[in-house]
Amino acid sequence: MTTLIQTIDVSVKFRIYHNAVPSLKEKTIQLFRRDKNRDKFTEFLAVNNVSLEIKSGDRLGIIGLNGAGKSTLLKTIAGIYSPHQGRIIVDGRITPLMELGAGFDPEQTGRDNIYLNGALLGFPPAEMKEKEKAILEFSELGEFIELPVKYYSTGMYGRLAFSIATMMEPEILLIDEVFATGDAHFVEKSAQRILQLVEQSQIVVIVSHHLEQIKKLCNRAIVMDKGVILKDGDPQEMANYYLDNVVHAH
Amino acid sequence: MKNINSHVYIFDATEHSGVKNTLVRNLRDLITYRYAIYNFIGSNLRARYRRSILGFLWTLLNPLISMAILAIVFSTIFQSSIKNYSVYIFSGLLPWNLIFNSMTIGSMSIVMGEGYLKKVYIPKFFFPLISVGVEVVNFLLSMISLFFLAILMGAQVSWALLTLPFALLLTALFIFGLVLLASIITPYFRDLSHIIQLAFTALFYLTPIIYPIEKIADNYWLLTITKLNPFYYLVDLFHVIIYQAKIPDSSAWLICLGWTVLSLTIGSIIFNSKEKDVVYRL
Repeated sequence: MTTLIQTIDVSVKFRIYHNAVPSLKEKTIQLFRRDKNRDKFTEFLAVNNVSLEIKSGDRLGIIGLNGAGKSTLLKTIAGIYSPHQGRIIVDGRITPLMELGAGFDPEQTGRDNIYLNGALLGFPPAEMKEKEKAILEFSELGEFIELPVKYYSTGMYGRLAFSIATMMEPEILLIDEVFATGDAHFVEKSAQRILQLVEQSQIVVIVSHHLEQIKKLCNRAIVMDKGVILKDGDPQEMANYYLDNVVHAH
Repeated sequence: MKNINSHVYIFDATEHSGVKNTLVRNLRDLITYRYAIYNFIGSNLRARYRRSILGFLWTLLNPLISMAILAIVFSTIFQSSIKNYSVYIFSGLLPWNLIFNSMTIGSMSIVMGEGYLKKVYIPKFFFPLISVGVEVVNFLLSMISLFFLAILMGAQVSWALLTLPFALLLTALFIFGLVLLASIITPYFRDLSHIIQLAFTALFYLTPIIYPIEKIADNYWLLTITKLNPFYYLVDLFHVIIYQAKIPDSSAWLICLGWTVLSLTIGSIIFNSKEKDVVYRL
């Protein structure tokens, strides 16, 4: 069985509502006023008709300006957003390395959060127990692990999140601007870990603004702009294309 | 969705996933992420009792004190004729607390889960499920501990008690259907939670919990409303089992089953039709 990701004509539409907090009260008033502007919203396509096939062995880098739809595409592949159009096929277990610490419960201790995070990735407590020691060691949190994570410094928070997220053996690795926070020592250590994970994975998709990182880690890259894939090819070429045609054109 | 391999995930926006596919998908999510549910329920319960000296005792004190107040008020001021009034109150109040808390907390569950829903993959029905799950565990804990007190007040221990889990299951599933519905609509109409709070406060008085149904027997309208109120039948299961120490007859079970099937069907159909869109409205 080969691991793969396939998106066929995928579009994701975002709506910006002009009434931020919708209510029945408002709806009722609108009904009586025959307001033509009811539920005003602006729609835009964050991902526009994207067809992409990522096969086993691909290390795909996604480059583009802020708001090009890179992260949305990644989140759609991860199943967080549902596309309004098109088809997505994901064959393989996804390990998301994005929004680190998003699954943390601030009231729970660091140790409890290891289990919560694992559970959110579908790992039973028994399996997490085996990983616990390695996570503790890598995060270098020591006794702080018994403290609720809301008392953690940003660096500690990031270290724990990174250690948990990278302790899995990934098939499909989705990386969104993951740069470890913390001191130079930890940053160095995590860069090593990312490299190791990228090697182990069948498929890697990386969203990054660091072109050097894309060139180093990837064997394929796409350039996105305004939700559309402009070009697909060799990372070095794509980086140049991006600089010449997207960055300088703006 | 042909392949039901646990790792394959296909999403098709054009395909209207049928009942079977939706069920299979939800069931698979439930199995894969079951530990997340245990974890959330556990931490919810722990958070509720942490940082208060009495801790878990609050769960017991709350219904206990409500019961005591109601018992004193009704037996002295209104001179309620019902014997063992406190046992009657106890048997109805605990399931009502389950219903009320599930509904008020559960209706906000998707809105509250925004932080998770936008950042990690998590099945959306988990949030309503967890809200109800927490209340079910809470119900069990209070029921078991308060029952000893109820015995002192004159409750009987009978074989009928063995049917209590079924009454609990029906009530929990019925309320889960309603919570599914409320939680998926609330993101679109945020003030719904206030309406629910008010509606259920009214329902508390419309459901025979602090008074027996006989009290309203000669009021045609009240009686009609009560007969249309599903909560009357559900709470009555607990009245019959605990207060009367009898096994409810089959018609009582069937009415509750009917309501539960109805609520679960409507709840899950509307939930599933909206769950893909809701993340864009949070």
